[in-house]
Amino acid sequence: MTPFRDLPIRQKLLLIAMLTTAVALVAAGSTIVFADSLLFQAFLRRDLSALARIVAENSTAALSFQDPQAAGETLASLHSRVHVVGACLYDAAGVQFAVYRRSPGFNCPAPSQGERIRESRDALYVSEPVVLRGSRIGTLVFVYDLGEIDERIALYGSLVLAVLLGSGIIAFALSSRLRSLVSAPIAALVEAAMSVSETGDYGIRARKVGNDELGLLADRFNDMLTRIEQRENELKRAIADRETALRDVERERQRVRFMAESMPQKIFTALPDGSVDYFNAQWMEYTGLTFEQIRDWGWTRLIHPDDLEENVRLWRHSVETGEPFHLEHRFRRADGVYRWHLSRARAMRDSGGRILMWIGSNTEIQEQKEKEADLRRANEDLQQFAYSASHDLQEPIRNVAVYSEIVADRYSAQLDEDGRQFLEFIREGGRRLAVLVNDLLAYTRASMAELTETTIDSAAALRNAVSNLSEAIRESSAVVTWDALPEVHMGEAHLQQVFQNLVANAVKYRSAAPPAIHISALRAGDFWRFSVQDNGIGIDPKYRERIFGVFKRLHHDRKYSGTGIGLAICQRVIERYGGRIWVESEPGLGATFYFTIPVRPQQSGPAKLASAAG
Amino acid sequence: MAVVPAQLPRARARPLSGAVAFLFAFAAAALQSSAAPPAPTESQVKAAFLLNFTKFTEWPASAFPAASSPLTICVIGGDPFGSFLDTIVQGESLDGRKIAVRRAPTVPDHGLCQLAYLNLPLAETKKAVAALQPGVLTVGEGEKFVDDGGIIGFVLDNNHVRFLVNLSAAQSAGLKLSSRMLSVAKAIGK
Repeated sequence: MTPFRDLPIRQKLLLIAMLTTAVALVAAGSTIVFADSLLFQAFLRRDLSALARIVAENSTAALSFQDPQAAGETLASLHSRVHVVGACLYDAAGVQFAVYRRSPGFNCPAPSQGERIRESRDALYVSEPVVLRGSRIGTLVFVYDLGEIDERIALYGSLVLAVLLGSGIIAFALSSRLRSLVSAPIAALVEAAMSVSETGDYGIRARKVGNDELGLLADRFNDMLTRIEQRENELKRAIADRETALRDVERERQRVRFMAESMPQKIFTALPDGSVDYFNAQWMEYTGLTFEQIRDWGWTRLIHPDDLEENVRLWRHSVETGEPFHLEHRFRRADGVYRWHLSRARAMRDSGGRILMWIGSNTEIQEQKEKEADLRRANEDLQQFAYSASHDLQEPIRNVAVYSEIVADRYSAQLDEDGRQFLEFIREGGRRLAVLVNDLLAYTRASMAELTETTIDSAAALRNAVSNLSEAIRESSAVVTWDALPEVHMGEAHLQQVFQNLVANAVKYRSAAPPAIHISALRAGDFWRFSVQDNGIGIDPKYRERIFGVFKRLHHDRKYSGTGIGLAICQRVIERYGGRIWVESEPGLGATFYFTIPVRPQQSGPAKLASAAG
Repeated sequence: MAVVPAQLPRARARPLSGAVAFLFAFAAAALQSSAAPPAPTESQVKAAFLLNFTKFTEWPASAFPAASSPLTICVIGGDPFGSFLDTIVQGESLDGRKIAVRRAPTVPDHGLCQLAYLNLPLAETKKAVAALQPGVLTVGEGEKFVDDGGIIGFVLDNNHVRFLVNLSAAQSAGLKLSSRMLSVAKAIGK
């Protein structure tokens, strides 16, 4: 079967058709021949028996009246049966009475006593008793040549063979036409598959012939090709995109490096996995090391041991999350001295948000750092001085105020008009000086306040502030309202001071209308954001920053009295707690002051500076 | 089981008629003496023919005196057969009738004979033949006998016994002769 398996389908179909035809014909033919030979033999036996009886009957008289000639004529009547080879008539005694020979070579067989018809390989021996009126008077024997049966078989066989040949030719002709019904669609499929695999062109489609299983197969094949074609186009596009992206990255990398070489800072780039693949010349110069020594993670050897752990932790965090890297730490210079640096790095991403590379800079901030420390010390000294001064100033100021009052009470009658006016100037100056010194004290205290872990109700702080301002509020017919307010981690006195200063400002800088002041708070991320909104005269945007400076008053006329230190105190307090204060306003449309307070308390002490200094 | 094959030949042997037995005996004798087989005499052949004639002839029932009457072969006149005829007729029967032989010098009474072999002087033969009818198969010698109204006449042809048949005589006698017998007759008179 193996050679058959490798034949083309069209030849297989032809073979199948021819084989089935041949098998059917041979089976039918041999059945017919076999049945016919059986039927014919039975018929022959009956026929020969009847013939024998007739000839025997006709021989009775000849036997009875001793007439061998008549008997011979009777036997000769068998001549018309061409397969009768010869016949013999025996009398009752078994003596041969008459003979008929078709050919001279015939010898009479002995009469059989038993069976009427005896069969040999090639002939039938028929023995018929000659009976006259119930008495046997002799025996007829004749020999029938069975060559006829072989002839019949040969005839039938050649007929079957001829039919087989004829039907084979017809089957061949028919199946050559019919098999194209099966083999043509398959050939079309094969052709399509071959040309696809040879050319790699997935646009090729198999021709569909008919709606049978092969048609279905062609459809599925074409569907598959369509899908492959789509996939391939997508793949091509993806590869093209990727190549473009890689080219872009490479171009970016080259540009970054080119720029980096021309910059005074130390610049590096890193792969998305965080390993550094480029340092600029400034790096090499600064560290005195080669690229190979510090590439990938080799730069870690340059980090001050105290900063190393946090540095690595933050860098890993950035690489994992893609968040920018930002850290102040110390780097070892070529001469072995550690210098403060600000290291920053940001991820460069493609349009799909994937990180292409990291670009980082390391800026030396040693001098800045030192100046900062100097400044801080100077500032602290100044604060200390301001506090001591204002504290020490209170006593002489009080003396000026008290004694100017006593002089006014007891000696005003003794003074002339000018004297009394001068005295009034002294009293007024003394009062203002007292307020000024108080505010200064408050301001310096705010910077030195201790942070607290306890929470306070901001609404209570607001109520106290409003209560302290009740006189000014009543005088100005102001209306102060507030929403639900949260609990915050703050000293109550500090929050109260902030509220008090902001509400006082709102009342003070009112417009023609009675002041309407509203306080609310909402959660914004890790902060509570408070707002104090008024309908006052507003603030020109260009002064938004200035108003928080010490002694920065915008209005010097007497209409708006004050020391100009209130908002500075607010800013100091808020920043002390880690928050921020700012104002949004349009002149004439009122102003809204915002300040934020962390929801969770800050680390005690100035945390950033402490770590940077560590 | 040994009994059955022993009985079968005997059962077969029984239907052998007298004539056949004669021929058998004759053939056996011929085979026994291979030198000079004793040929049967002319009268013996004729006697056998007489018996065989009865087998190819149909008689009307009126030809017999009674249903049980035997079929009688009468030898009228001189008897050429002697006891040989009696021997071959012995035990023979036809259609349930025994076959008997009777000898008479002259024509016997009507109904006594069904086959009559006449061996009379020529002058008496014609008269006797007429007297026997109807119902009797008359057999005589020579062509003259058939011409004289006899039904079958023996002739010699090349030393073989043959016979002539007068069909119109048979018809007028009320007898039917088998066509097979006629096919071996030497001549058939009208």
